[in-house]
Amino acid sequence: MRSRAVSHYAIQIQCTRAADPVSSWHNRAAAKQTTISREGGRGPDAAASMESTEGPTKRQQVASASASPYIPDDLVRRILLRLPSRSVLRFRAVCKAWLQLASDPVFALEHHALQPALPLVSSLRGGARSRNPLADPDPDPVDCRVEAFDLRAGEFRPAAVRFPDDSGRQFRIHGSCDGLLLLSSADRFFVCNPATHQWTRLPSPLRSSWLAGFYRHGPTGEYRALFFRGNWAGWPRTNYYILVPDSRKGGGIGLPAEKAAGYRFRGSPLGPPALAHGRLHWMPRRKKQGHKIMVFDTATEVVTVMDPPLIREHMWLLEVGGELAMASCCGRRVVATVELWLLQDYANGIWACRHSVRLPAVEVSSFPFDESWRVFFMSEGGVVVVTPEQKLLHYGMDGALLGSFPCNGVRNLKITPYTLKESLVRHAFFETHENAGDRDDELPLPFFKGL
Amino acid sequence: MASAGSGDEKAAAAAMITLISSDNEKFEVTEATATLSQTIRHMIEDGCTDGGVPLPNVTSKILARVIEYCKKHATAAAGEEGSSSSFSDAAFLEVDRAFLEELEEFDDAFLEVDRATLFDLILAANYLDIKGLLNLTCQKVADSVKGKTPEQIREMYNIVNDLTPEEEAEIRRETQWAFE
Repeated sequence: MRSRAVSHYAIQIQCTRAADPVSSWHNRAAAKQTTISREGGRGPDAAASMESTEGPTKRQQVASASASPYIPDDLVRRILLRLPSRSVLRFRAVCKAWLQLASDPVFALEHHALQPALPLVSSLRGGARSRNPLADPDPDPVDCRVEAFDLRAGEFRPAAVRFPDDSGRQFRIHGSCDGLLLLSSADRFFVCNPATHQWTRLPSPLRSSWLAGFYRHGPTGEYRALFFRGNWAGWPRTNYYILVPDSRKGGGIGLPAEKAAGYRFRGSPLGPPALAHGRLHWMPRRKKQGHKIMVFDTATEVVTVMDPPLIREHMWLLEVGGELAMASCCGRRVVATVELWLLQDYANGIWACRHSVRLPAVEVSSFPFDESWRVFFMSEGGVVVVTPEQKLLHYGMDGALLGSFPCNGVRNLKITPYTLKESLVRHAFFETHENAGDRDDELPLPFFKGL
Repeated sequence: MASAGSGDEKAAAAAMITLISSDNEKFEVTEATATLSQTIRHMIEDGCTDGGVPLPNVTSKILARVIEYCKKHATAAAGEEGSSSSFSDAAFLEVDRAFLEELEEFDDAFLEVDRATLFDLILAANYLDIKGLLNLTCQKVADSVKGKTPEQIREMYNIVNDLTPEEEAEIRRETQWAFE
C-alpha cells in the first residue's frame, strides 16, 4: 500500500491514494489504524478531545493546489446528504464506497430529514392550437408536469411527476407525506415516490368516497389513506375509513368524536390537511359550517376539534418548523397583506401572528382560490406568488422581492397545496409490488414518463 | 513553542486564546470566536489552552480563513442568543434581516475559493468541529457537483472505479432515468 502519511498531523491514519489499485474509500479497517503523531506534544486528554468530533476517520492529507482533493468517507457522506435524490442515485455508480454510503437505510433517513419541503408547482406545456388544423392534424400534445420549486437554489427540481395528455386519463394529487405522493386517476388511487420512481396501488375506495388525508400510522409504521363518505346533507352519515397501500388491510374507523365541547363537526374535512404534532389538521369550514379546525390523531385515529386564530377569506393550514401554522390573506385579484400565524402553544391552543407581510400590489393569477390549486405559497422561506404572466415571484417576510422566475412556454401555472420532501427511504409495499408481477392487467402508469 | 511572556500576559488577556497553526504561526482570538469550534471549546473547558492551542492539522493560510469566518459568525451568534432561529419577534425582524443578509453575503464571498482551498476548509471545519462552517462548505461542494456524472466525479476527486462492470450496469439499469 502506498500511503501518503503527513507527519505533522496529530491524528494520522494510513490512507491510500485513490490511484492505488485497492481503493481505501470504504476500508474502515484501514481507517481505524490511527497513530498519534510524535509532534503533537499534547497529553492524551487533548488528543481525546480532538477526537471528540464526529466520526472515527480523520484521514487527512495536505491538499496542495495541484493535487486533487482527497475526501474522507465521513465527509463524502456529509456531502451526499446534501445532494438532491437524483444525484445521490447517480453517484452510487462512482465506486463501491459511495454505493455503500448511499445504500445505507440510516443514510436514507438522514438524507430525507435534511431535504427541504419544496412547494409543488403544476403547469401545462404544449397544446398549442395549430392555425391550420387540416395541414397539421397532430397538434402539440398537452403535457402536465408537477415540479418541485427549490426556493433556496431558485430553480425547479426535475419534475416530480408528469401526466402526458396521451394517457387520456385525468390525474390528481391528493396528498404528500414523507416524500410519497398520493395520486388518483379515475377511481384508482396510487402511492408513488418521485425520488425513486416507484409506485403502487391503493385498494379501491368505496363509492362516493373522498380522500381526507394521507399519513403515516405511528404504531405500525404503515402509510394510510383516510377516506370519508356520506351524503352532503349532514354529519350523522359521514363515515371515515382507512386504506393501506398494496394490502387488503384497512377498515372503517366510524364517526369522529364530535361531541367535544358541545361542537358537532359538520360535513367533510376541507382541503388538504397539515401535519403537526402527529396529527392532521383541516382548516375550518367557513360561514354556516362552523369555525373549528378538525384534528385527526395519526396514532390513535381519533378525530377532535380545535379553534383557529381567526377567520379570513382565504386561509390554509401548514406546518412550519414542526408546528401548526395558518396562512391567511385578503383580496381577490390583488394580494396586499399576508399573515402567518403560528400555534406556539399547541397544548393550550395559543396562536400568535408571527409575520404580517405587506406585498407590493401584485396582481396574482386570475385562477380562483380553491382547495386544490393555489397561486400562492407561504412557508418560513417567504411567500411565493404566481402572476398572470406565468412568473413565480418570491418575497421575503419583509415584503422584499427575493427572486423572479419566469416560466417560459407554460400555461396554467399553479402552486399545489402540497410540498414534497424527497426521500430515498425504501418501502416494502413498493418492493412487493415490483416482485409480484401480478399487475399485468394494468396499463403502464405514465407518472414518470420521460423524467 | 511556548514562548516568553505568555505567563505574564495571561491575566490581562483572559478572554484571548492563542491558536498555533501547523507552520507555527500564532493567531490571537477572543474566546467567543475560538469557541465556535467545539474542539477548542472542549480544550478550554479542560483547561489545556495555556501557552496556546496547537492545531497541527491546519496551515496558517487556512487557519486565517477559518478565524475570519468565526469572527463574523461569533458576532452573529451573540446577536441571535435568545431568539429562536427563523422566528424572531417582528420588532427585531428588520435588524435581523439586514444582519442575516450581510452574513449571507459574507458566506457567499467566503466560499469563493478554489476547490483545493474549499476542501482544506472542510477538513479544518471537521477537525475543529465547527458545525456552521462544515455545513456551509459541504453544501457548497454538493451544489457544485449535483449535476455531474459519475465519470466526472471520479476525475474531479481522483477516485478509482472499483465496481465490476456488472455491478455498475446493474446500478445504471435500476435507476436509468437518474443518469439521463
